[in-house]
Amino acid sequence: MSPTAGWWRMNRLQARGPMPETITDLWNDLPVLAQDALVFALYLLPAVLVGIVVVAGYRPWPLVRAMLGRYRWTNLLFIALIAVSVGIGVGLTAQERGLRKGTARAAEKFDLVVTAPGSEVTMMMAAVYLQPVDAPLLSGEVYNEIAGHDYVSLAAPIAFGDSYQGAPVVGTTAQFIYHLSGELASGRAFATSLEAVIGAAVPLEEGDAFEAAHGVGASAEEGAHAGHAYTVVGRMQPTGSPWDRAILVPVEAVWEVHGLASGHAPERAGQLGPPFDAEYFPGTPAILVRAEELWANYALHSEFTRADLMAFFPGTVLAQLHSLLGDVRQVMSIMAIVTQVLVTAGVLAGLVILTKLFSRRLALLRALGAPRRFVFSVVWTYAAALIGTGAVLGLGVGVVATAAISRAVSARTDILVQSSLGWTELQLVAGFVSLTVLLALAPAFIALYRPVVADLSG
Amino acid sequence: MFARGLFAAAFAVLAAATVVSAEDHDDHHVSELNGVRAVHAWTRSTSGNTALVFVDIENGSDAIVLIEGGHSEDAATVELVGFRLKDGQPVYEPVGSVPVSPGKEMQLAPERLALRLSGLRQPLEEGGEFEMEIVFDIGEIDVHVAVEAADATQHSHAGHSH
Repeated sequence: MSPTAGWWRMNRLQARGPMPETITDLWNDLPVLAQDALVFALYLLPAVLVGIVVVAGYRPWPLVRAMLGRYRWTNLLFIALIAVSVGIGVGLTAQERGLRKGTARAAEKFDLVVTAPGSEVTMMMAAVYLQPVDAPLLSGEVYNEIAGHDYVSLAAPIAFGDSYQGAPVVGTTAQFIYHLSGELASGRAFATSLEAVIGAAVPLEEGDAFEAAHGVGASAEEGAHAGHAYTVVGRMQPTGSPWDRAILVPVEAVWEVHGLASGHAPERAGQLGPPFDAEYFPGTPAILVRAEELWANYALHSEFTRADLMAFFPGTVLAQLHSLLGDVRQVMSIMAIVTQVLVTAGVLAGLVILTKLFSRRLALLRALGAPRRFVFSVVWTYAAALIGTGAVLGLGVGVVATAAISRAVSARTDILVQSSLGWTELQLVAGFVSLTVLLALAPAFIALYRPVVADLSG
Repeated sequence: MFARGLFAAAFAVLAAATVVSAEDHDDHHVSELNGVRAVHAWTRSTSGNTALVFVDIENGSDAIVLIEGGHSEDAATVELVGFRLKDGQPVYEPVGSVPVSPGKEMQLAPERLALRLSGLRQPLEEGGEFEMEIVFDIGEIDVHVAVEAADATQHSHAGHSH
């Protein structure tokens, strides 16, 4: 420790305030599951406490059950409104989480990507999510330097730019296919520059032949590579990523159809995959780099971060994007709660009107000598029953909404999104229930102060 | 004449103070051992029992150095961890040691490498500082760790050259 340690320690302690260490330590020592369950219980606690206080000493439930049955269709409408509101709210928050996990899962196989200097986000979108982009090419010298590094176990060129009926055609190596897919779902990896392996969701079959278009999208030039037909020889396992809709061909084939060298000296013209001859290497926009150990990936990142190269971790770039979107998630949660509370406020306003329907019965109760607090507990329990039932059914609606939205998002993005309701959503619903049963005290008070005589006569 | 002398003296004192202040400022943000520099160590404020410390390591020596971990009186353990995505979830895993080549820089930064302090003895509050040692194969470097906001993404002096 340096001589200034004492000064720094004092400075640090001055910067800290007093703290309830025991409570913090206890909380930190709890398993995550216990923390989630406790937060859920804490959010639900106000509702439970209000319920205990309001019904203490009385049994309002038989009367409430009768009220629920008497106006069942109106009650069902109110319950449905709350359920749909809660369901959509929790469905959206679960979806956001599912999308985050889906995009992260899609990027997992891309440990380290090396490209020419530029935007990490743009190149991640191109190399990992196959979004078309014009990118400078890396030379054969650079490729061989990377592939020959002691720490590198896989260096795969990723050469994009062509397509077939909207599916990106990507030039790479057989090693990359096995890295991405593991064992193939069927068939084998390409063995010549006229063979292709398709992603799990590509609408082609083994044995089918096709010619790639030059470019991707509406401006792709059909027939630009006429005469170079690929034959499908294998299909990859599903990866849950846009690569499921990709067609993988030897990188040598991509170069050849563009009239470039094959990556190998003339005496090795038929060779596929590394090693490549730098002199005959036309270039690749990106290289996937993988090391066996995590530490080596970081060492490689440091090695290949320099003026002429950009090395980046897609996982890091994605996590930073997710972090930026963290505020959006909070806004979404708040919006969900606000929407639900507004719907419930509307329902409660309806309840105030509905209690007018009960007013004669409630006035009769009071005329017969029922305590005011009993009438209060009847009205509140009735409202709480609608809210509670709506909230529980809302979780069911949320499950259905989540599944439907996941399917739609997966279909549009080619990223497998698997969302399910979790503790976050349960806590959201618990908070909603507590807040709205507190609001439900209002119609109970309003019912309490209705004129008994007028209601009896009216 | 007297006024000019007084002004010159005042200027000299002010200049000296500025130099001292700049050196002091550099002392806070840069530590060095045999050509290896640790610049802008920082962490996020937390009331939890773990924290990640980030710092830029510059290897100005002519040999490969290994970052191996750290020590801190404020935590039970310090280990070097690396970020990765695992089953769609972000995780930090222990990485043992990481080599830094001569003339290269290794950034310990959010969602990358970090030094994970476990068993924090006190919460870390924004604006505070504490001292720890980063362990290399060539020895240890004392660094002053600035405690930034809980959602900070960089040291508040990031971008300043030292």
